[in-house]
Amino acid sequence: MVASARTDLLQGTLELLILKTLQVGEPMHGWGISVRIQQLSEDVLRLNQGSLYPALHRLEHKGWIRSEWGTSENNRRAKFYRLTALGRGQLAEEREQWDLFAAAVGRILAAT
Amino acid sequence: MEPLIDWLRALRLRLETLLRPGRAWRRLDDEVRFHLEMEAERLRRQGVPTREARRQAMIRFGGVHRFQDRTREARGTKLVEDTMQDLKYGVRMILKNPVFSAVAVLTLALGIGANTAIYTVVEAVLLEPLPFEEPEELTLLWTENEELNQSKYMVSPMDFDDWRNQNATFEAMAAYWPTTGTITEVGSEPTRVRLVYTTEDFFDLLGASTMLGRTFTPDEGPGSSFVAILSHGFWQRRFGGDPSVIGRAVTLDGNPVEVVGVVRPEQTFPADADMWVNITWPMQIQSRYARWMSAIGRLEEGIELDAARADMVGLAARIAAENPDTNRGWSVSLNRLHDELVGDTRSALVVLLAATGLILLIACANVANLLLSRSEVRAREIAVRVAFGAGRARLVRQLITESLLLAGAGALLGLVLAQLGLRGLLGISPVTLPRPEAVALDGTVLGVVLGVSVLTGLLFGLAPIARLVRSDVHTTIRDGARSTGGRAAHRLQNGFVVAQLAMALVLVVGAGLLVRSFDNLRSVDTGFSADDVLTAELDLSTSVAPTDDDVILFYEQFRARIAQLPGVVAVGDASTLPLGEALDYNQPIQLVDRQVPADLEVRAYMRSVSPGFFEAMRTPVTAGRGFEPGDRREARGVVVVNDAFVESYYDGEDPLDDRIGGIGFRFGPLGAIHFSEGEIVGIVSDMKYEGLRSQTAPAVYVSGLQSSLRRRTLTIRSTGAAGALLPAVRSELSALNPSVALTNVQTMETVLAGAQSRDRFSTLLLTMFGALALALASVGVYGVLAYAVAQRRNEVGIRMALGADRAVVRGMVLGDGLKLVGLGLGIGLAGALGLSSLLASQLFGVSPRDPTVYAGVAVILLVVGLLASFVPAWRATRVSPVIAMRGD
Repeated sequence: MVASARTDLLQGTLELLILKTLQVGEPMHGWGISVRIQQLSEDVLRLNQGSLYPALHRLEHKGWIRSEWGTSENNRRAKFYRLTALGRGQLAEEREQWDLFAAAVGRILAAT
Repeated sequence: MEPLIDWLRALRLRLETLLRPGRAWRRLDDEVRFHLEMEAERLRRQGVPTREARRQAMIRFGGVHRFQDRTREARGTKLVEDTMQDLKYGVRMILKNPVFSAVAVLTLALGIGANTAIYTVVEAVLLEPLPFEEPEELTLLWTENEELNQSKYMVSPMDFDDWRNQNATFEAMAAYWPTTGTITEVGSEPTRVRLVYTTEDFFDLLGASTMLGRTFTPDEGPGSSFVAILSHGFWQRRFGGDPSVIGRAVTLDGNPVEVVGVVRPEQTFPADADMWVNITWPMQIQSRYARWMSAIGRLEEGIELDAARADMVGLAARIAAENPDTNRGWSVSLNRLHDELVGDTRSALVVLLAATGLILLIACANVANLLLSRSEVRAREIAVRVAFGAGRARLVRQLITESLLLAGAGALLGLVLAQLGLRGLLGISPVTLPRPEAVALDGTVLGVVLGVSVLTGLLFGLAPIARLVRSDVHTTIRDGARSTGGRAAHRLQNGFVVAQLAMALVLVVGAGLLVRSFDNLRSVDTGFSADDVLTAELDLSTSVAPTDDDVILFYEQFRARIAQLPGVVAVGDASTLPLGEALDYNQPIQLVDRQVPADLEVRAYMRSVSPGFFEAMRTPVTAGRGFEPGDRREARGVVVVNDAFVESYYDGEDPLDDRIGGIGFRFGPLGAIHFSEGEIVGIVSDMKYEGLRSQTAPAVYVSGLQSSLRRRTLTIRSTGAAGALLPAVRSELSALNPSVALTNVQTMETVLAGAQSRDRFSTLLLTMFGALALALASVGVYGVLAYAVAQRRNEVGIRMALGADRAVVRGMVLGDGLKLVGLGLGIGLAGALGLSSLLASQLFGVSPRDPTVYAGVAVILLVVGLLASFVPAWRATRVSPVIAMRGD
């Protein structure tokens, strides 16, 4: 719980991360997504899992990702998510936004 | 293309979530369960014991409730789902408390129903514009003469002609003459029709149009031939709605008249007209003295009524100056057509509207109180839900939903009641409402009632919410249902009850005043006995009776035939029926043998009645004699006067054998009195003609054998049921002359009831409203006291355990009740004293501040309040101390 305490992600950020995670191509279930984000961030970002599923549903209801039921690696029924064409476009757009945002914040911090 | 499919898929997903929420939730459950298992599995692999792993997985996931809420939010369907949930919950709460809900819904339904019904009538009668072009420009005109104490009198054709040609403020002016005629056709019964002779521009002036055929053309004025236009109702009744009637000739009073049009049903003016016929005679006939026509005008655009009034009064003054013999003192009065049609119904309707408004307020207060009481009881439930994380905003919404559900149910039921009530309302008020055919529940009214119900829902929904917002979860849960945090709420409830009682008292006082007034009206001495008398109207056209003598002979023969029918006690006829609607002639006369002060204008109503009329009406002849078969044209003229005449002109001294002059008069085409000087041979009791409230004016009766009025009402007194005679009377008439029709057949009792109908209407309704208000207010008193007793169960239990007397406890609760009743009584009495003057114009023989009514109502309210307090008081003493002190 060391690093995660201060990583209450902005709502838009969580969505961006989910979209990015799914960009790789193969369908992933919710737990897999949370583990992957944690790994990729080298344990800095630990998702509040209660907010992961609402975010997934939000994205699905917007049509950016789609889901289907399948069998997990340990032979259980699980819901797998994948990126849609709509979502791909959205990811590009959000990524651009994020870059702008990060650059801006960076400039401000550098100025002091 | 692909993005579109993605978007459509998302849309389907949203719809599915809405339509099959259970399935969506189950899937979410599966997904979460899978997640938790994977998480636990991961922890286990790190060496955490199975149980602990599962627990940590749960913790890391966070609160499930919040999670569900957020998911719902995420789906973008939260609002709909929440509302559905609120509705479901609301319905469940309503069904769980059937008594509470039934009382609340019924209370509201009564309030809303009464309001909708009355508002519908008010809207149709007072607010809706007349169905004519620019109806606000339509104006009725009359003559008036202050010296002669005449107002709203008819106009002579010559005066009308001058008005029409010389005014500066009217776009057009038309004259009309409502009378009756008889239509005869081979092979069918003769039909009496309400006929209106009009100048040819009448319909153009109104802006009325026909649904079939045409109206009069400009060249169908003087010198042309008669054509007829039918009313929609008459067309349906007489011709079965047959469109081929256009162009057909009907025989009207013996003359063929071509039917040229049928008027739209809503544009029937005057409202009871069957047929309109163009006036084909020139206006410059007769004398200015012969005032027998009615006039209607359309104001020039932008001209105010007052300007037109000034213009016309000036014009009339000029005419009077030029023709002093006939027009001295005669002026003009005018009034808008709409105001005239609405007439004195306005004040009655406004009172009823105010009354129903009070009912709705009382109803709302009642429901608010019910909800308030319940919100106290539910305070703990709600506090527990807050503690479990329910958002306050969400709770508020839920309570509002519940209120609106109740209001909606009440509105629905109220609408049903309104529909029923409206039918009943129109049923009991045949005479009062000027335009009953225009009265129907419509969209506007629906909108108004919906507005009222929604407002009501929010209004009474707010009270418990205010209480909830102030409450503190911790205290509420600790104190439970006994929470005393409701002291402010309790004061509010008491306030509601006091207000209810006060408003109920105002209504009951109003009802009491009207009941007394109606009682007075019913015991008015009419001067005749109405039971067992059948009346029917006849009008003899010149084709039936060409000369005056023929008229007299016809009626004499007809009376003789009827007198022989079995069961007939007496039969007579009269030019004007007491309390009837026919025109009454008030004219100046001379007292030949008596000096009266020079400034006293001697006038009297001239009424022609046949021998047998006073007997049939059982009007006492108090001195001298009534009319006899020998009082004919060839004999000397005789008259009978009424008590008011003797009182006014003879100071109560004996007038018998004195002579009255200036009687001989021809009433235009209606008939004539055939002698100019008559001897007073008898005195009869005063009879009411102008309505039950009127003062009887001096009247001179002339013999129906010495006058030839063509239109008369037959009065037949029989031993049996009056109506049973009708077939025999009809067959006697058709034996005498098959082309004469009977109209306006009614018993004298019906005529009398008609004269009382407006008062009966207001009295009945206000009494019902008063009773309703009383019932609602007593429910309010009961509710609040019962609740207060429940709240004080502990205290009462302790007192009784300590040996308090039952009577003391009972007295305590009763005392609380009486305090409320007393306060309501005081405020209500003050309010009633202030408001009752609104009723003054409708009261007869009773002051708006009649002390007996106020005292009586105060007693009634006190008794009702006591009864409503007694049940809770009695219950309080039935509390078992042990149970009470254990609390809940």
